[in-house]
Amino acid sequence: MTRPVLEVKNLSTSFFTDDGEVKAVRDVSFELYPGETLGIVGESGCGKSVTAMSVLGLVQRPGKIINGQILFQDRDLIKVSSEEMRQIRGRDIAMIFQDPLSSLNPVLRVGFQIDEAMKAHDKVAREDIAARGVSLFQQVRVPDAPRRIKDYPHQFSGGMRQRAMIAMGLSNRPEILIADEPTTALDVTVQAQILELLRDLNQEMGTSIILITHNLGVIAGLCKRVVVMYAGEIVEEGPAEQIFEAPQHPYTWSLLRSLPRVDEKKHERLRSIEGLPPDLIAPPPGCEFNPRCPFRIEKCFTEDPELEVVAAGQQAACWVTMTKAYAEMGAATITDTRPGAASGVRPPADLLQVVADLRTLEEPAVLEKLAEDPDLLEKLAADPTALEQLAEEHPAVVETLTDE
Amino acid sequence: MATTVVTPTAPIEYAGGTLAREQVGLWRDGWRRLRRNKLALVSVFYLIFLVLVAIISFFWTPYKPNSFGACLTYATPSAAHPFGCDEYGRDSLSRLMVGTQVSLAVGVGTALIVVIVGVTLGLVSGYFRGWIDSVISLVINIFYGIPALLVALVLYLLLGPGLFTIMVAISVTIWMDMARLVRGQTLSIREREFIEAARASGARAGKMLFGHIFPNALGPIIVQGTFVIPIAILTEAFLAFLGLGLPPPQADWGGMASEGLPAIRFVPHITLFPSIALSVTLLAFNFFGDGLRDAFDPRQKR
Amino acid sequence: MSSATMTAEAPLPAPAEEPLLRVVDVVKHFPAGVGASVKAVDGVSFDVQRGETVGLVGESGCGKSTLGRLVTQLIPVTSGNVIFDGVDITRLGGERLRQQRKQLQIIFQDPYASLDPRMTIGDVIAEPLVNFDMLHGKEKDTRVQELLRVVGLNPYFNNRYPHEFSGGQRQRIGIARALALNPRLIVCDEPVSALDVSIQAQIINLLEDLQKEFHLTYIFIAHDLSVVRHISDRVMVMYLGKVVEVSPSEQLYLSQEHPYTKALLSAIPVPDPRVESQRRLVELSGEIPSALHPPSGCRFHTRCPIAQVPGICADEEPPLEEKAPGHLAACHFSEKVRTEV
Repeated sequence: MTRPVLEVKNLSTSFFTDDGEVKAVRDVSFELYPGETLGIVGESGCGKSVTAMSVLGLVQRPGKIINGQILFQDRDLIKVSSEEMRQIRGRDIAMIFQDPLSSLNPVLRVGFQIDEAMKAHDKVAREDIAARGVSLFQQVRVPDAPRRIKDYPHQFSGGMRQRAMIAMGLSNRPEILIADEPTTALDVTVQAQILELLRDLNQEMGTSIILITHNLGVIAGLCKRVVVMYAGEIVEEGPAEQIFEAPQHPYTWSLLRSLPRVDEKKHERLRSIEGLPPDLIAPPPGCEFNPRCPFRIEKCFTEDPELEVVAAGQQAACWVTMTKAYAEMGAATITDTRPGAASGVRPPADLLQVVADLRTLEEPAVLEKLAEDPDLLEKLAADPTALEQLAEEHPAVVETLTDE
Repeated sequence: MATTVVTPTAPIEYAGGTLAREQVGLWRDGWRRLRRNKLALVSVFYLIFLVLVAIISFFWTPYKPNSFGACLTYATPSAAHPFGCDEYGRDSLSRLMVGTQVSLAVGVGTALIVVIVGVTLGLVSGYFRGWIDSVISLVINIFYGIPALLVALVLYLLLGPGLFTIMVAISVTIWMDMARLVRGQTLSIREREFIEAARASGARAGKMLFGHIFPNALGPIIVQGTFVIPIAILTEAFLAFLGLGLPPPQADWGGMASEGLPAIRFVPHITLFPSIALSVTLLAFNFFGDGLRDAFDPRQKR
Repeated sequence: MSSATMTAEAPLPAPAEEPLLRVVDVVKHFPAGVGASVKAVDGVSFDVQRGETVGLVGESGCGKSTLGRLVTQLIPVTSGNVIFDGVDITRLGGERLRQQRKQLQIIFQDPYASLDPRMTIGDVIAEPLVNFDMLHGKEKDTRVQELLRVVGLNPYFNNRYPHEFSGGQRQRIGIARALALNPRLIVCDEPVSALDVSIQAQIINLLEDLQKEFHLTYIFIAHDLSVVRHISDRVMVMYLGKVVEVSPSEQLYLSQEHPYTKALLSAIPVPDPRVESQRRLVELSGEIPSALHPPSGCRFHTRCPIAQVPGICADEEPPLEEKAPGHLAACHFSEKVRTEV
């Protein structure tokens, strides 16, 4: 087996805010092999971008890498000096961003900026720089390259700017190109062109690509291997075909089923994932997906699962995994993905929130609310924890409740 | 029984989920950040002290502020008269305390006038645009062009001396910044989507202006209003220094500083103490305003 | 102000069959400097039946959001008519237009920008009720709580501020506000584009549920064709201010009558590597032309793989015609789309 070009081990990055420590990335490990296209997919706040920033040493206060190793060319990027890191950025690891306009200096010609990127690192011989700029522009398929390279960024359309950014990123022949949502700001037809360009460049030049996106379709089109992140952790990882064909983590499974697909027959109800991603200051105990998971078991509330091999080259962090869920429950019962729905038990009311609101009220108002809502009354009476909490503020109310 | 599906303990009744975490509102968040700014915090305490002094001086001063011969004329500071006495033998401390009333009244009063005028004109011209905006903008520019002191002088002569005259005279020379600020705020807020949403909800112009735009411009208005106070206090002191202040024997800081001037070589304290009081107060208001600006500036949120 | 003043060539049908909304040759030009104008919407006509969902799709700058605002009369038309329930709302002004807003609501794209940060969400949702002086005091509060419940939020959240909510929750609040007046038509302007994937499905399902429950009619605007196709009965594809194709949504993926629609469909990434490896991208040459100076003839001819240039495509604007039952397209060579694109 070839050696990976990049190895991230147990990376944890936190942001120390006024409200507390936001654990943005927790214990993330993955490898990137030469010439590989790796996709990191997840929703906003899942830690995918922070992972990339950590690799490039771009995490700024109040953020801080608190643990882990990032091994690249026999060096730990967390430990290298900021000057060394600056040399690595752009020369060995390049990055392109979602918004190419804010990454380009508006008052300088695009060609000049690409030349500067090459001059900053002594990888390209001085006399070759000008010619290489034009050939790069041709490589990223900017029509009429020799003329367009003298234009300013505002004279370019969004797609052309992203091409220019890719040209700049590739100018020093980096080993790794990290693309953070490179097509999110673009229209679909332009997105398709940029993705095709990245695919071709990966094949022609052998540059390894890490593609960070929330768009599963984009990943499916470009990446050979996929890392799925949720709430700062990797929940599943493996070859793209397997992940899309047979996802093992309920999050990946649900995500794929919540997407409307243009090639599918109309029009079944989408299977949405209920609820919200957790608060990263105080993530839930156990598996962080448990509040939204339709397949959770007792263990999920107490113990956080580690990544384990679930199939050849595929790992998932789940106590249940979809194979077992299908085997035990039968495919026919897995139709409704509301938490707890698979068991046929509909969850009770969000009592604790209601109780918290009741506690802020005066006693007569509480009694009035309860009198108005017999449903709530019933649920309250059936739930000792909720009663206990209400009793802390309104003991008299609870007494009358329990008497009844 | 590896995959026994359990009844959830953290149930979801409402599909939209619960609140992630209760977050702090604008005011509480602002206060929290103001507290972090030490200079602003010290200024707040000083300003509270100043207000207390002004209130107390209504009922009690060590000596009668306007009675001649409370002590020797030009007496230097002593235990009985810690700030000394002036050329008529009036107790400087008592007069400084009473002068606080004038400074604060002029500062706050002017700020109020400026806010009322500036906000009204700014909102109207920014919201309705068109010819109304052109007219108001023209008036603003004309006022920028008129020498402030000239306006103040003319008004002072026309209206006669008095607290209100001074406030109006100062307001007339400095309301334009506020109007311009509010106009700019209004122009930018009216383009935001929630204004369009309000229109779609059938909101009338009045509701738009005072229900949506004004509350969202309040932060910058308060900050700007705070900066008006020291400008007004300084202008009042300056006018008083020129003899255009309140009629004697009313004590005010500018007048006191001016009275000490002929004898400044021999008894500098008569000019010195009111000048110090003035400077410290101006500094305090400016620090407080800076603190407020930082506290209300969402870009610095972290 | 009556429909009797309508033009002779577009007589109103009998009230029973009358669509809820008729958009007739609507044009919106935004002035841009001396003598120039951006032709954002340039002659668009369509009907919306009661209870129907019409999808409106296109790339940025195609005029779809402008069209949504013209339909709700948040901006005035340059010319053309928007006839809502028999009343031409482009000729209403002031108070009468305001009264029409009760029937015609809009849900906005950005759930962060479309809620006033200084209002509690209870006040946000109650605002339409207050503006139209409809409910007061306890009745109003009850209605607000009911609306919160309807959109899947805890009714006890009514005294919280928007910044305490996530994007998806805010979009639910925006939906509750749009529902407050019991409207008949809701324009959904990219309501899920700013949301995370897992939240998008929640909101789409909610909109579908509400449509059934309250017999709503939707115009659903988005740039994501898969989302639009999922929720809509009919899909309209726009390009540079014009409608180029109208298709029943089941047919859209199977057969296209306009080369632009085909290119758009071929560009949509599908979350399935096997499908992706089979994908054949219809390459469009060049870039979207400026709406300041749209191309002559068919506006798509500068990028079209099958255009006859010089020839009919550059000279003559193709009319939007029925090519198959219920399937309209504006292309001179729509029969060649299936085989040659």
